[in-house]
Formats: sequence, structure tokens, C-alpha cells
Amino acid sequence: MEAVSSSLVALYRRRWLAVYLTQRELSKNHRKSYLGFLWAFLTPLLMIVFLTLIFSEMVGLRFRELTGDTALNFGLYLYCGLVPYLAFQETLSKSINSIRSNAGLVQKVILPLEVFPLTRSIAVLTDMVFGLVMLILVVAFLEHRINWTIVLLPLLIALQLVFTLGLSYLFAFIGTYLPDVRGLVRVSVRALFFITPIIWTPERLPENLRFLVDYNPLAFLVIAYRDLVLGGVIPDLSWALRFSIFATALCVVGFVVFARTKQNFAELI
Amino acid sequence: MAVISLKGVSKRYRIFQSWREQLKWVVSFGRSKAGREFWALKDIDLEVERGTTLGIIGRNGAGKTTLLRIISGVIQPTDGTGRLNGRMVARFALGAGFDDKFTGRENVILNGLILGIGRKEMLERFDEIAAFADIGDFMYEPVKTYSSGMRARLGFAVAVTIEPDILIVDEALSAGDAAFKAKGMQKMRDLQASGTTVLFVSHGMAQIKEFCSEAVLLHQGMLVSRGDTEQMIDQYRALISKTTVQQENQRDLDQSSELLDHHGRPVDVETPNGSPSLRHGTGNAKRKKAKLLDHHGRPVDVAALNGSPSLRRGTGDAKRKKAKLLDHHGRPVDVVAPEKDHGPGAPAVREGRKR
Repeated sequence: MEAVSSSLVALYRRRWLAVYLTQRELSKNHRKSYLGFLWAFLTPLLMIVFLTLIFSEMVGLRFRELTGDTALNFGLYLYCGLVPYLAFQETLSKSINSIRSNAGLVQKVILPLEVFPLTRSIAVLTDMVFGLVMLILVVAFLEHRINWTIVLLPLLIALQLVFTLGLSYLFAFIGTYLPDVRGLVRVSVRALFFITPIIWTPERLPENLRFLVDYNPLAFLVIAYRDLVLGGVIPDLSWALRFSIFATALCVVGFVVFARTKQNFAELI
Repeated sequence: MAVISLKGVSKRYRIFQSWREQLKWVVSFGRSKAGREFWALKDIDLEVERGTTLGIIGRNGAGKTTLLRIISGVIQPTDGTGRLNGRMVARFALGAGFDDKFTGRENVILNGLILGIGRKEMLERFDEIAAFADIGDFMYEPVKTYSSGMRARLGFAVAVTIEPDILIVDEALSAGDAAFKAKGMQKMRDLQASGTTVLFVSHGMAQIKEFCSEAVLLHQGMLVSRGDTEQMIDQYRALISKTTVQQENQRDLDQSSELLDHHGRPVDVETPNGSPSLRHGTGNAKRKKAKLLDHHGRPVDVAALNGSPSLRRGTGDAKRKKAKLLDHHGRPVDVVAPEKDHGPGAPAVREGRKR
């Protein structure tokens, strides 16, 4: 317990370091390009355009028949599911390397190692927010509507941040102790793409496979974002409660494990 | 008040022969006894008073850097406790705390934030740091484009400008050129004067002697002794010569071929200060001339056993283990003390302090 509280104190004392590292994490991807920070918006926009063009016309026809929703733009439906999934994927791939890729700092100076998973989580979610903003704009442009439910998005993002932090701390620890897990994680994350309702719709799932959605925290995020941005409805609240409990537990466990093992990190890498 | 106090600090590393052992160790969170133990530090007690400049000397692998890493808190000791009463510790080792992808300026800010100095204050000090590092427009280029000298300059500039309570300098000034070294030395003297505690690691004994009021000698992970800088340097040199004399016997016939008297017994080679060791002292005393005289006091030709007049010859592959000195009658000669070139009555030859 002492390790955890001293970790939190250290984090608070170095909050400006966290802010700076987050900024740096965000600018890292764009610093060598001519358009710079514009890419934060351009990347999601281009992706939406491609998905809308390709899927709306080709796959979308069949999909509209299946769901019975004739007005549905499958490209947007798909992108809205991809937003939380991509953030999840980024979180894992970045957090698992978060200690090793900062070896220069970890081994040579004293700083609260907790900042690395934290700043990476925040950077990933910030990038995701740019994607969401573009999605909302495109929905407004193509379908001439903005659902009032988007005012609830900050709540959902906050919930997702708790979940992301838990993942980050846990996988930062795992990636430092057992670097070989990286390959396993990459494969699992790909598999998760297919068992999460991103390219398929959960309504048509056979009853004996319902657990794939019910016990899948990622499925909650995907469906909740769709409800808020595309559907204009409030997500299932009992499911939201279950997700919150799970996310909080994950965050606590992840942080405690990290705080208790971090003193060995400098030697392990 | 002791700024640094270490009690019974030991550091053990494990060396694994196979990945299986390592995995076992990692999975058990370090509780497994797998692998071979290596003690980088053994039972170190060290107290450093405020304002002291402590030199840390020892051979490569003696544990100097491990000790500094424990003091700075980057790694944890296996046993023992370390306590620091400093507000801020700046450790300056080559390339420490720099992120290669970012510019020098960004790294300066980053280092300030790591040490807990606000961004604003760091920006205020930036000009001072830039002036001290004196690397021109490279300040705005990524650190990966820097030469090692520039890295050293920037790192040192940051470490000294933030006015830490404890400054740790780990063998890094050596990458700078003479002008920068002089500037760095001056800055360190200023810090000393203002009461900063400095831990100084260097293999440059001249620097150690110039700076440190005290020194500790580390050998094979143990703190051998602590005391006056000159004495520690003497001990260190004795240690070096003890461990290298074997190699020198092979390599350096001029200095260490065994000299036998005409009874076949080894003779002492007398050095100007009368010590039996071939290398000794602070290194300031240098022998300028050595002459071999026969028992009439006349200089003798040095004749080697195989009849060659030179002591060193050939490709150097063949090594002579023993060499006898013969006079022109072919008899072995006594080796007497080399002549002192300051005339009779002059004490040991001393060149004075090397600068």
C-alpha cells in the first residue's frame, strides 16, 4: 500500500512532466511531416471517406437488408466501431513497450515511471477524440443531423480512460517482465477484432454465442459509441455499470502491480 | 549532517546460463534462486558530509557506477539501506536522460521537469544553459545528430546550471575538449564553493587530485579504504601495478625483465625514491635517466642473452623471460641505482605537479 501511495504522490509532484510527455507523445507521430498536426484530423477523415465509399456501396447493400435499416451508412457504422477498437489496439502496443522504449531515461535518471503508461494512455485517447470529432462532423454533413446524446461522450471517454489506464499499467508491467508476450498480445488483439461486433451486428448473433458480446468489455465500448454518436440513444445502463466496475478493478490491479514491481524495471531492460 | 548515508549496501545481480533460468527468476518475481550470483557491491558503508567533494576511484567493474546508480536511486540495493538528505540529485553520465529523437532544447526542458523544476523556471535558465553548453544552433537539432562531445557539453551544462544539492559526475567530462574541460572545472569549483556535495568518478587521477578533498577506493565491489585523495591514488596505483605487473613482465622488457646478480639471484631495481616497486607513488615522480654501470663505475653495453645488443628485437612474438646484464668480459654485472640527474644530494626526482 505504501508503494501505491508514494507512487501517486510522485506522479502528482511531476504532473508537469506528465503534461510535457503527453504533448511529446502526441507530436511524435506528426513531427516529421509537412502538414504536421493537421494529420491528427486528416487521418480519420481519409479513413472515413474510404470506408464510406467502399463499404457503403459494396458491402452495405447486403448489410442494410440484413439489419432492415435502409438508411444505414455502413462506412460510418464500421468507423464508429473502429474508433474504440483502434484506441484499444494502440494502448496495448504502446503500453507494452512503454518502459523498454524509454530505457535511456529509465536506467539513467530518477523519475516516476508511472508517467509513461499514463501519458501514453492519454495520448492515445486524445488521438481518438480527434477521430470522434471528425466522425461527428461527417455524420452531420452526410446525414444532416447531430444526436443530442453526444453530450454524454465525455462520460464515456472518462470511463474508457479508466479502462485504458488499467490496461496500460498491467501491460507495461507484463511487457517489461516478459517481452515475449508481445507477439501473443498482437495475435490476441487481432482475434478480438473479429469477436467484437465491429464488422458485424450484435443483434443477429445466435443465442449460444451471446457471451462473446456480454463478457467483452470492448463490445460495450463499441456499442456504446454507436448508441451515442449514430443511434441517438442512451446505452444499456446496467451494462455500463458492469463495465465501470470492471474498468475500475482493472485500473486498481494494474496500478498496484506496476507500483510494486517498478523498482526492478531499470535492471530488467 | 550527512547528505548521503549508506549502510551495509550490497547489490547482487544474477547471471543466467539459459533462458529457462531467467524465465524462472522473472516469473517468481526475483524470489527464485536460479542463476549464478554476482555481487556488484558488497556491504558498503558510506557517509558523505554536506559540501564534500568525494572522488570515487577503482578499476573498471569495481562497482563505481553501480554505487552511483544506487545513490541516485535509479536501482535498488539488494541489501542495506541508503538515505539521501538532498533536495535534488543531478547525475551526469554520458548521454543520460536524453531522448535522441528530440532537440537539445526539448531535452533541456525535459531534464528540468524530471528533476522537478518547473517549465517556466527552466525556460528562464535556458539561455544560461545554452551559453554554457556553447553548441550553437545544434541546440535546436535532435540529439541524435550530436557528437559525443556535444552530448557531454549539453548534459554537463544542464547538470551544473540547475544548482543541485548533490552533483554526481560519472566519468563524462573526458568527452569534452580541453577548453570545455577547463570551463567545466571552473563551474564545479563554483558549485563546491556554494556548498554542493559532489561525487566525482574519473580515471583521470589528475582531475581527482585537483578536485576531491577525500576519496574512496572501490575494488571488486568492496570499499577498500577511504581517506586523503593522494593516499587513495597511491593505493589505486599500487593496485593497478600489482594486477598488471604480470602483463608488463611479458610486454615491457625495458621495465620489468628480471635482473640477476652474478649468483643468479634476482636483484632489486632501485628507483629514485628507493621503493622496490617498479611503479609507485602518485605518478608525479618520473625517472629521467637510468644508466647501467659495471663495478668500475663505467657504463656498460647492454648485451642480451642471445648476443643481440638490443633488448627488444624481432617481431615481438618471441618473448624473453629473463635477461642478464653482462659486462664486456661476459660476466653478469650488478645493477646499481640509476644516477640522479639533479646532481649529488638531490632528493627524489620530482617534476612538480602535472597540469
